[in-house]
Amino acid sequence: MEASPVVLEWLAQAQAFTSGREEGRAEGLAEARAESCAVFREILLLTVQKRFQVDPPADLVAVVQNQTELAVFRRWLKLSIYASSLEEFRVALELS
Amino acid sequence: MNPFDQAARYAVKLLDAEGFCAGCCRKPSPPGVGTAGSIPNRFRIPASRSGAATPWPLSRVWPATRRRLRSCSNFSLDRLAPCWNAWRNTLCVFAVNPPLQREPRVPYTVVAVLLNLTGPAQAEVWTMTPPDFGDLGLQLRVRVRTLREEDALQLLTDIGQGRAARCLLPWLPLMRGGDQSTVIEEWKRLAGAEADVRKRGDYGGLARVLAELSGRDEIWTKGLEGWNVEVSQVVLEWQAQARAEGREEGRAEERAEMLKLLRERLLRLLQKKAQAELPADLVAVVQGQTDPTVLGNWLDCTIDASSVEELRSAFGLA
Repeated sequence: MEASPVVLEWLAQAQAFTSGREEGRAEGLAEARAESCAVFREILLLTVQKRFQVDPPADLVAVVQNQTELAVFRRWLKLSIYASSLEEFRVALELS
Repeated sequence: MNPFDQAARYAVKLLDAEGFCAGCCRKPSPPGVGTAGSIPNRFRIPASRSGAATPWPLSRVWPATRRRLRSCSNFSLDRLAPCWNAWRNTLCVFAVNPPLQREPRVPYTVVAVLLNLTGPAQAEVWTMTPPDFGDLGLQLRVRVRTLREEDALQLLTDIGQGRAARCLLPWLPLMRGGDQSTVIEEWKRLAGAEADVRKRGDYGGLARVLAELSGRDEIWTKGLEGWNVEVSQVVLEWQAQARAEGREEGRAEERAEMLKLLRERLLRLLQKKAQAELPADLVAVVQGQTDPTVLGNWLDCTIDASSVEELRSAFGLA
């Protein structure tokens, strides 16, 4: 590629926006993270309802709604599927 | 992408596509002869009632079709497609237009302009006959514009008198006489008349890039000292593009992580339910699912399912 100082100057300005790219990336991550969390919350609460045949209690709903870590959702989802009772699940979530 | 390619494409498509077509589809004029008379009908600037050329860009009507040409922002790639040849420093611009008359076979007509940015004139007719296709092929007559043979002062006169669009200003450093200080001064006067500050910045930035392609960068850089290129639309677009790309990258990354996690959880649960190796099609359908809501629903179904067959049915495989 032939190097054009003028274009390099433009690119430098555009690269000043590399921070913009990073900002954009952070925005994208945050947006998608919010969407992921919403999906996991819904799946988790439905799973709890289905597995234990009760509406999830308010404190459990609150703690699920406040969670933003996918790794934690992953663990909770597994627990919701394999816990033998709602109480066991609540203990795992440190609610009891 | 080659920076000259990027600058040239930008100058063609995004400054004023219509003005570019009107200016470049015409036959080049001999020195000292006005150019308006040789503009093809499709792109001719209509004459006013008095017979004088209507100053650009007051009228945008195609006389032949009575249709308004789409504005620059509506041009998509298949409307005006520039193809760069780095080896020859040429730019071939295909302009795709509605046909003049009802044409049952094709909905468009295509014309092409070959811009020789630095090199000599080339043949006007291209013949493309691949040897392994028998006697099939295409022949295309293009308008060849060889900028080093075209008079910069003449173009400035045309622009000044409204016979050519201002969007042609960035190409001027490549033209004959484009290294004369008088030309640069007149260029600055005409470009300075552009009310849109971003567009004015683009003219300056693009002219400097193209001046470099012709080895005239020093004189143009000096001539345009103080010219505002900081607000160039090019830069703003690159910046916006960078941000948008970053955003998409972030979204894709996060989404992939979520899907991976959901699929993994679902497959483990399926494995546990099946108590045996899962059928390949079941695994494939889970791995191919990209909608997290569907994966969530399948997870729910799996909790209740009592057999693999039931699951196959729920997953749409039965």
